[in-house]
Amino acid sequence: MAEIGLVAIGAGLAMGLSALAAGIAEKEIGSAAVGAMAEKDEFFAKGLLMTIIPETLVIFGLVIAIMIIGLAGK
Amino acid sequence: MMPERMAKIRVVAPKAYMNQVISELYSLKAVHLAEHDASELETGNPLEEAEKLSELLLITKSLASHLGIRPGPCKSPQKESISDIEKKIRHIQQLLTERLEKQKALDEKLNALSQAESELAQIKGLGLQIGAFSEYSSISCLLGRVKEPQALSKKIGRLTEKYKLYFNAENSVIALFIDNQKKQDALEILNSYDFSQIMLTATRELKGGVDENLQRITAEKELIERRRQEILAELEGLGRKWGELIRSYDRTLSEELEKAEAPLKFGATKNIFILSGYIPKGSLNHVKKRLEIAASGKMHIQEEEIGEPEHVPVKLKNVKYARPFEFLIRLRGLPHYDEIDPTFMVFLTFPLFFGFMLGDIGYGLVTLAIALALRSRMQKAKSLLTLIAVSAVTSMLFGIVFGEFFGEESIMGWPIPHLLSRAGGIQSLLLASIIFGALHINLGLVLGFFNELRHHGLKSAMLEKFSWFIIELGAPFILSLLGIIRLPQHLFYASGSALAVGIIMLTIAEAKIGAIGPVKAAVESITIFSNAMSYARLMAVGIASVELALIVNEFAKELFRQGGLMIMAGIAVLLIGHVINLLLGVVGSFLHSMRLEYVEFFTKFFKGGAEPYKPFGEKN
Repeated sequence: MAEIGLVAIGAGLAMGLSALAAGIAEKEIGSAAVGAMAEKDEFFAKGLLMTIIPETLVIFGLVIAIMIIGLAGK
Repeated sequence: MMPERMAKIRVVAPKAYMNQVISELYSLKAVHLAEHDASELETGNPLEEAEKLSELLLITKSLASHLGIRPGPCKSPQKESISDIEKKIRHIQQLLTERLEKQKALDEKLNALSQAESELAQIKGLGLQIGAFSEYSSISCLLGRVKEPQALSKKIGRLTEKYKLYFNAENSVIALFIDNQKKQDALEILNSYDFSQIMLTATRELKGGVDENLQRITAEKELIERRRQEILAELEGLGRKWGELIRSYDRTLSEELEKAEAPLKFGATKNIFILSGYIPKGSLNHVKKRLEIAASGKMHIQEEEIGEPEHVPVKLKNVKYARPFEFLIRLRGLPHYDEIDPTFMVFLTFPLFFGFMLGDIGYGLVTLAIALALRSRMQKAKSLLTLIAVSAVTSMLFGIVFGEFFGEESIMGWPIPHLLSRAGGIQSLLLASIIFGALHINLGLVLGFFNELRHHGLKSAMLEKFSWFIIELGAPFILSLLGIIRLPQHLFYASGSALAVGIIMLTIAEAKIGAIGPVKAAVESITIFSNAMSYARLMAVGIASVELALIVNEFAKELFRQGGLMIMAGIAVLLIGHVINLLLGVVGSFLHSMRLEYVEFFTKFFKGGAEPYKPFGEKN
């Protein structure tokens, strides 16, 4: 049972830390993007795009979390 | 799959026909005027009336803003001559100016009265006449606010007997009349009581008692306010009476000004002018004929080489159903003239991604209904809403695949048949997402290969794009290194060497950027796998949406079970919960699908950023 707990904590850490990292990255990009959009409307698409790029980090975190949970099953 | 084919023409004609040619071009709405190259010939001058027109347009716009006339469509464009328009505009301007001046005078009077009123209100409780505050030769008057005016009298009394203090305990205003010589000492005492002086400016000239003056001012203000309202009503009346006309003048003048300034894009000599422009190939003959008629045949039209593809304005050409998806391409920047237009690919894949993420019969139905309802009302967002409506349909289709209705896999206890369960089968969903991704990325690489083939030839296309397919053959090698799959030994080595060959090809391609090239190639070769992993978001966003819906449902069911008033609460929870989840789902699915198109797909082949085709005479 203790091992399942550790696996759960591992999966949680993978998910949570990657989400935190994405948040930190998006904070910086988002503020710069909004600044650029305020100057020129054409930057909307590019700004949006740049802002959601770090979300991939969370996806990777999720994939790793799923893999870790998969370990628990073995 | 390519933007509309264009022809470039150069027109040479005598200046005497310039007006006719410009008018004809304007009504044709087919020629995109190219900027004139000033190194060839001098740039043309605007037509004579340009200055007058821009002045009139300025007045019209200021009239519109003063009279609160919003820009909008006008029913009947006026066919009046410019001098007639000028007469009318000057007339309206005069009517407006008269009223604005009157309004300004009244405003000034009102301000003065308000100032006097506030001063009077301050000295009201002192029991003094206004005259008491005039200048004296041997007595000073100190008027102002202090804290604790009651305690003041004793302190001043110690200074001199020649003083008189009035105060109003309610608002702490005091008036101290004191011997001129003791003024400084008295000020010091007052300052220790936080004295702030009140200057009387507007009240100086008034006579008589404070109260009667206040009454008079109130009455006068009312009168002026009434006059102001009358003028405002008159202005409104002017706006109603002339609004339509001013709007149509605004339009006529803008059009005429655009025509008058067109020669700035022409080259000119003393007697002739030259213009060049781009026309869709299909309308070339028609345009030629019309222009020749306009200049009575006295012109020369020559079709030219299209030249550098970067400078050609781009008009997208797609089948009707794919056209709303041009919206996404425009947002990113139009493809260059010699690039593949990805609209059709986006039309095929975007709704698929969106549907896979939202994937719910109920949510799809609601989104479809909302998008269709808004579509007829919001002209500006029409293509966006069409795009969402199409995506909503695919969401419903995926909802059937997943067997989901508002997150539930059963309706009223009847299970919905499904091919794939999102709440249960994460692993298979992940696999499906990555397969989607691999297909999408390879489609991008194929397009990239053809783009590169056209621009830089076979060798470059093989090295820069085909190398990626070879790198992909290395995927089993990496997977078995990670211990996810187990390969027979000969396949393991074959896959590994394919990866190496691919990276070497990419290295040769990148070598032209210098020593950093090989490093870049090695690092980049991994991105194709991370790109494919990125499609895991298809699963992730979908599952997040399902789980949220299930939580809302469970919560509501619990409330329903308790019965009574709780049923109402349960309905509220269902409504609010699903509205929020739907909103998150639609926005999230939209953004993530868009990202997959832009980042994972477009980067394989797309440059973009071309100038849009905007024919002379066409409104935005």
